[in-house]
Amino acid sequence: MVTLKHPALAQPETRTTSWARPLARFMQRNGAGLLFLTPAILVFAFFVWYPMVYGFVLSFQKNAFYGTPSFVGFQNYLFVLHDFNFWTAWRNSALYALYGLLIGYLIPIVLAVVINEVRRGQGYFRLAFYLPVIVPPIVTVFLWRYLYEHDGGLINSLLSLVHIGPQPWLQSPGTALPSLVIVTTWANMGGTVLIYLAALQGIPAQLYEAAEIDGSTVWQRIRHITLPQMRGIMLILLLIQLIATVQIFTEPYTLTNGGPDHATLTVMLMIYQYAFASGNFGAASALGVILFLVLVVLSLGYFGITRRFNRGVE
Amino acid sequence: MASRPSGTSPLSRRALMRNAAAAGISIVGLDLLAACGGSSGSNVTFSTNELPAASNPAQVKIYQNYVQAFEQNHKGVHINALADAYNTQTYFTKAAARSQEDLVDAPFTDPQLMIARGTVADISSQAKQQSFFNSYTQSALAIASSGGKVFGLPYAGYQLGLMFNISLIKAAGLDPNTPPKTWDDFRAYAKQIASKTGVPGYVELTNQNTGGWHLTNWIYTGGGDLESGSGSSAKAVFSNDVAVAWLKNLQAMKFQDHSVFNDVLVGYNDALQIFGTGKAAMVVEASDTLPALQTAYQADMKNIGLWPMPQSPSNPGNATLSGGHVYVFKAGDSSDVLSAAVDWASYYRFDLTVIENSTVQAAASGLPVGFPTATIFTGSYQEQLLGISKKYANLPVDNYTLYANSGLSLRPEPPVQTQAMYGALDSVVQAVLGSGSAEPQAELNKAQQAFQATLSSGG
Repeated sequence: MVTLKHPALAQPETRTTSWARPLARFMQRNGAGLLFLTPAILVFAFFVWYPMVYGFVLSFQKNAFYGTPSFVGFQNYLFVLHDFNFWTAWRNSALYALYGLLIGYLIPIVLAVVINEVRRGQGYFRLAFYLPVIVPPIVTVFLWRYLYEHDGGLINSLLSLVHIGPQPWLQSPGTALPSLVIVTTWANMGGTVLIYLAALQGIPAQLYEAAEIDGSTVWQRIRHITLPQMRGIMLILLLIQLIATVQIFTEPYTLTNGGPDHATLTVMLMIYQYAFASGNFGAASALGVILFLVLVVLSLGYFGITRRFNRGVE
Repeated sequence: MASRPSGTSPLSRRALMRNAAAAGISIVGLDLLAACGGSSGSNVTFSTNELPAASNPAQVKIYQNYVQAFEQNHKGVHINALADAYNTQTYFTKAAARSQEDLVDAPFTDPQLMIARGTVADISSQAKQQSFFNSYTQSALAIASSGGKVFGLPYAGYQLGLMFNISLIKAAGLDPNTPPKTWDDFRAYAKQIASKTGVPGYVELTNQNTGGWHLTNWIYTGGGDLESGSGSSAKAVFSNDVAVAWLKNLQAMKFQDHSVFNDVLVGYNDALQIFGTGKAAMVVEASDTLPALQTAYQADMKNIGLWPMPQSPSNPGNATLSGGHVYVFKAGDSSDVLSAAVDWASYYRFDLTVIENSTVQAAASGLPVGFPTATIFTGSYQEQLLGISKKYANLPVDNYTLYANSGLSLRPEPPVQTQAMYGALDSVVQAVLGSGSAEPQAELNKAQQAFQATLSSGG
């Protein structure tokens, strides 16, 4: 016997059922994916998001991790902003980025274009330029410390063979920062060269064939085909490089410790000195938050350009 | 009494023990020596940071033999020794996580900061039971004491002096037995050495807090001060006439006389290498760097002498900066752990038989023995220490007579945020040595303002 319910006697839908069904549908579609993502989410939560939030809270505290922390409002930010080394560090970080553009940005492009034109031995050149990337940073530091030595260093010794006097390299405020940029470029350009090479090899060959038929020179092909085709990836890598150079730490810390006379003091090194030389974790966190805000602006630019680039590709 | 900036590697009696190779002399009777302290009678494990680096297996072996002997005679005590040379930055970071070693070998600069931050334990009751405790001088005890309580055991002291290369001094027509007494004499010596030999007369340390450390020493020789007050009311006062006068002198030596080593960035080990390989004739150092000069750079000990620090001609301070090492113990450890750690320290560093045994090994291995050290003990204990040193001395101790008998007063380092102050002063020395037009007063003012902000923030 079938019992029919009169509509007037039907029970109204409860609140629990109004979201349960969409949730069940969502879990059915995405549950497996969420399960796979859970370990990564946990790792990010413990090692990235929690420290970020804690650092932000710490920037408003006086906390040496001994005893009870106290809330100090914006005191740490004022302390950092009134430190005359603050502007020195930002100036040096900006100069580092500028030198990085002049030295470290153009060289990988040129190398990639040249390697792409080589008919034989491309594999050898790719390996040769990538090798410094896999050298441990501490080895890189010791190597360049020897190369840069004023008396007896390899570079000055080679210069003396062509009757050029010894250069101060790391020993002078004027040359220390560019010297560090050379080290960073040498150590990291291999990866960038490979990315540019991959981009170059994605350029349709017909464009070059048509240009050759029209009688264009190599330089004309590079100028009118290669560079325009690579514009998007070049902009993306430019932003990535800017973001990376603002966070530079290893080379200034190990080679010059911010000297001579603060000439290579960078923002990251200053954060380190606040935290571990002065024990002022509040100031270190405040400067870290300021750095974070600057990087957010740069990152927004990066996302904007990648979105435009992807739309262009589609 | 004071110590080098953190991160450097001073070598004192520790070097004698650490550097002695296993030269066929077996370590006999260590178990008997270790029995002197007696067993604590409970199961405890404590960690220490003083294990020699793995790059020197002979030292590691000797150290482990002492550990083994101690453990055999102190049943239930286990020592977990780590090769983790003290560094101010890493120590306080570890202390924030309560993960510093139970027994830490630290320089004289930091115990007061450790006491203020509560990272070290009060070991008054354990320390006062030790036989050598009453032999400490008052200034040595003050290094790691506060409010009548004892927080550490100083075990080695040294004073800064002017180390010189005897052959270069003679080649410049100078007399090794006639030290420069004033800054002016010192400048003239350096100039003469540079002009007659072509080798820079002097190398100055400037990096990794050593520039500030040495500048402090030179300010002391001019009767100047760097800090006034203490604790949270401390004031930075190093931007003064004495500091300006010395820096102008140093700048003139570099840019007018061309008698200072060219590099602007010179760290502690860089300076040892430069001096040890004959690339500079004079350097400010302490006597306990002699073993490092011999083992690392094969420097000829007969060719190295020590003079007392030259003093300011117009306002002599009659002083020099002194340094040393101290054992500190982790706050929060149980009394059993503290007792075991203090017993180990007493055995390894202060037992006269152990010291003599180590000295014998070092001398037999050809390591330098017998260099003068700053006195941190007094009375019969000090006499016995001196006796051991003299008995086995293999160094030309006459080369250090003027240094050892200088009569200069030994000034301790400024007590508040010492390492941070040194770091701030590094840039002053670098600026002055980097440019002939740098203004010492302006540089000092900048550094003082920056450091005062650190003091005021209580960081």
